[in-house]
Amino acid sequence: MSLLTAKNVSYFYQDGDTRRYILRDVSYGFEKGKFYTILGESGSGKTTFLSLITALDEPKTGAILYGNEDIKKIGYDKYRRNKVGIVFQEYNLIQYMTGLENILVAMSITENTLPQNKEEVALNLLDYMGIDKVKAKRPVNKLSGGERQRVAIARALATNVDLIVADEPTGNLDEDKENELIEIFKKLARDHNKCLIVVTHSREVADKSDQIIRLKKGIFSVDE
Amino acid sequence: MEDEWFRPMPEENMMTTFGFRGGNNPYITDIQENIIRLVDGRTFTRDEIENDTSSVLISRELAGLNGLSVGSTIAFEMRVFENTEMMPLGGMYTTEVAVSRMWVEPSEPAEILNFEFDVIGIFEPTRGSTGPMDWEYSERQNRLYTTNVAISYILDSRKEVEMRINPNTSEEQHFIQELTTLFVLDDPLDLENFREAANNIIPSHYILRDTGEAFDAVAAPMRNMEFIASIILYVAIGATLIILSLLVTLFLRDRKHEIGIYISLGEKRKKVVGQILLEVMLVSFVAITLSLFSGNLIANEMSHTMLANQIRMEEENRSNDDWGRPMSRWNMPGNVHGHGEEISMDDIRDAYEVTLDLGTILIFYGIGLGTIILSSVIPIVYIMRLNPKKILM
Ligand SMILES: Nc1ncnc2c1ncn2[C@@H]1O[C@H](COP(=O)(O)OP(=O)(O)OP(=O)(O)O)[C@@H](O)[C@H]1O
Ligand SMILES: [Mg+2]
Repeated sequence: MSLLTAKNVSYFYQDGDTRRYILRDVSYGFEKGKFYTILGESGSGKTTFLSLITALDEPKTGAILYGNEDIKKIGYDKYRRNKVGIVFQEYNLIQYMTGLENILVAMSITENTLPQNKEEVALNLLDYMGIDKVKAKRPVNKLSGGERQRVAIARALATNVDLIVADEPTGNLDEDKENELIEIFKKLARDHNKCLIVVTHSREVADKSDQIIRLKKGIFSVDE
Repeated sequence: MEDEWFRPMPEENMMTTFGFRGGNNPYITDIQENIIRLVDGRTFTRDEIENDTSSVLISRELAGLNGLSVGSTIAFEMRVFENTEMMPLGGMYTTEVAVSRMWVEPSEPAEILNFEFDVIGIFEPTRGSTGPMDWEYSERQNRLYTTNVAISYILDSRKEVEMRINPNTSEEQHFIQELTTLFVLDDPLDLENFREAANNIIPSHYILRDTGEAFDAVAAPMRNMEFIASIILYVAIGATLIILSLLVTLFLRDRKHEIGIYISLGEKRKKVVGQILLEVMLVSFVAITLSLFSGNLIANEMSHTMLANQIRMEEENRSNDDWGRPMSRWNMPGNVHGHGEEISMDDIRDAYEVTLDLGTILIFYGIGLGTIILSSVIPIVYIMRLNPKKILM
């Protein structure tokens, strides 16, 4: 059974009187333990699609199901709190807080059961992402772009969710760091049975994923 | 008999008079109002108030000069003259009746009445003398506190003699002129009723004045101030509303990104609003507390300055009375015998304190926090409608 399902999802932006369709009756099921990439040109609607599966916006028609349940029924806030980890294109960390604090904030908001020693868990998670203790306790605005990206991924993982969604996570990384990150994604899918949905316009990244989804003219097409 | 007269003090004061002050308050109002204090002996019992005609309290200085103490007996003689020429005294009506008598007499008395009193207590004026001409002080020293029954007894005794030797003089002339009556109202709000009732019984050519007028005179500009202050308050609330709404909105715009992140992490909007309100409230609470106490200080200073001006203006407006004495609202003729001295301009000034009572404090915090909550309405709506997608994606 799919972890996350887009069911006949349509989305448009209203431009005056005309509707500009970004997604046209898209249906797709994402499974646990797999690393998906969504590939498409700039302006093709990748971020728009992510906003729907992260409940930051809702489809005009159709539905997003988590398991068998419509996320609207779960409640958008609750869904984000407990079911999905989001890695934004611009990281979206709280600037004046340290990496550690950013993660602890997310851990304090979720209702998922977490270990008691939250700080230790968060530090381990950051360490796993390549952020040592010293950097973890530095305000995030004093970290490099790549480091911020990894703090953002650690935050998405910290709430112990099965679904991680990332928008252009490799955009600001050099080739080495990009490869490192792809390895981490693969490991998360394979070893931790997570479902990763990563938006990219990089062919290299897409090629290393388990499944490439092409988004063009509002329609999903899948490489076999 | 001459030896049994007691010397009023101080001697050098021209207006040396013994003043008997009756009362129906066993604890003596002047003691309760801290005009005098009991230094020896006691005040009256209920029974004495109702029946006793021979108990007095005298001042320590009078006692000292005449070798008297609690338990001593003192004798007074009252000299009744034919067609007495008395200086008319102010006509204030009180429940405490006083009879006073000029020391200087024009001729041989037609008849002498004798009264004996037992000293039951010694008192001392709470205020010291300001100099030899402080007649108010010497009046206090020469004051004898007794009961209303004792005063009635003295008056009745005298009336009888007076009617006999001066049969042509009217009753009014005989007695009222020598009485200063002081009524103490339990509640200042009764003043209007009292005024009405008193005006019905006072003889013609007498006017009724109450010391409350002095307060009225001060209170009038204060009431104007109050009106201005209330306008200022509303304007201030209005301005605060606009400014705070703007500030909180700006403050939120600044933190829009952060709030967006909380919402994207699934934080309940209600909680975010609560958090923001809590922060605003905490800061406001500190600010209100500071302004409350600094405002109180400033208000106190300001009102005292205003009162000082008011007093200065009043003093410039003073006119002189029939005897060339300066007269003003606060220096009424009744003061000659020291019965009007209980309220002076200084008393008013000292009594006019800007103080903070619990009610005022609560109202202040209420208005302050209420204004802030109101100014938070727009920002709250702003948060509730915030679209994190627009901010973050
Ligand atoms: N709020 C909006 N109102 C109107 N049009 C919008 C809005 N947001 C995005 N669009 C348009 O919708 C289309 C899809 O935008 P989207 O951000 O999903 O593209 P994307 O695939 O993520 O592009 P990129 O790779 O550049 O990030 C674009 O043409 C964009 O201009
Ligand atoms: Mg995008």
